[in-house]
Amino acid sequence: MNTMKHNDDLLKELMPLSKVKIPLDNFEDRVMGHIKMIEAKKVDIHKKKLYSIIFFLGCLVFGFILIQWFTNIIIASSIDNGFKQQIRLSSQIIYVALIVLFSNRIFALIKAKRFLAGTHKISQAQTSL
Amino acid sequence: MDGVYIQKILAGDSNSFAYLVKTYQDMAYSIALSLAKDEFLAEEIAHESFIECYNSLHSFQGKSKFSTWFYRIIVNTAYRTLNKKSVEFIDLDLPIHDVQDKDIPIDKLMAEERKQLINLALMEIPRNESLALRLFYLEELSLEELCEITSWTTSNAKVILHRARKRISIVLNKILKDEYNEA
Repeated sequence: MNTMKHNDDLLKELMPLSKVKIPLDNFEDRVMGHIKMIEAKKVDIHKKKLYSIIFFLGCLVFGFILIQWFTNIIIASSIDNGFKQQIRLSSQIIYVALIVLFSNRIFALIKAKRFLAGTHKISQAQTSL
Repeated sequence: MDGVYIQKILAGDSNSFAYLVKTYQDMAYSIALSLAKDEFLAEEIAHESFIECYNSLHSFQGKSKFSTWFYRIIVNTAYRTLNKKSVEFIDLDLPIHDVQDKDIPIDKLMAEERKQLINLALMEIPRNESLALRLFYLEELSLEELCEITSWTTSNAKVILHRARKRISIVLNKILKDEYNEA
């Protein structure tokens, strides 16, 4: 027990000396530089998100107009009626499929939070403290 | 003081993070060094830990001290980095025996020599034990805080600390004897 107490006292005396000064003089500058890069990327991504949403909505409207125009052309043409219906239906299905596909990507982009700086997922333990 | 700067950072003032870097960089490096056993790797881990801290600061709920939360990030980052680099964890197999008080003439050493000696000894012992000693004695954390940071159970932490105390005494003794014999 005396030895253990001695070890404990020795460690209490010695361990404060074990704090090692980081050898890199510019460590703080490097970390802050990295953080500035992250912030700049965030601004850039926010802009791109905005453009993506604007273009998506623009294409939604444009696509709708295009489908209407295409449908009118098909109706006015001399193609067989049954075939006309098929063409109309196919074009509308393609239009809806494209909307669904790109909507999914837009939602994923809006929800994306942690794709900056190659960071990993936040562990459950970290968020619980 | 940490709380004030954390609020500033969360409000959008990223420059305030410099205060946290300046305050905790040495401790971050020390903890990383305990696990990495390599200066360059420890720097890398410390750097990544600060970035991880910055990115997840919004999730800090204030239930514990900021230092406890941050040290946990450092430990997790260290283990992740070491796994990624496939660094082997080799347990030093030193015979553990009772060490006589008179075997360690450490009182005779100058402060700088003692600093070098303890850091050398910490590099020699297993990672977990080195980490436990630094957190428990250097940072003066309680056993509960130690367990929060490392995810060890209380009994596991006590065993690691007990082994660490014994092992470091042996290593210190060995280093001093080796130096004495060389001289």
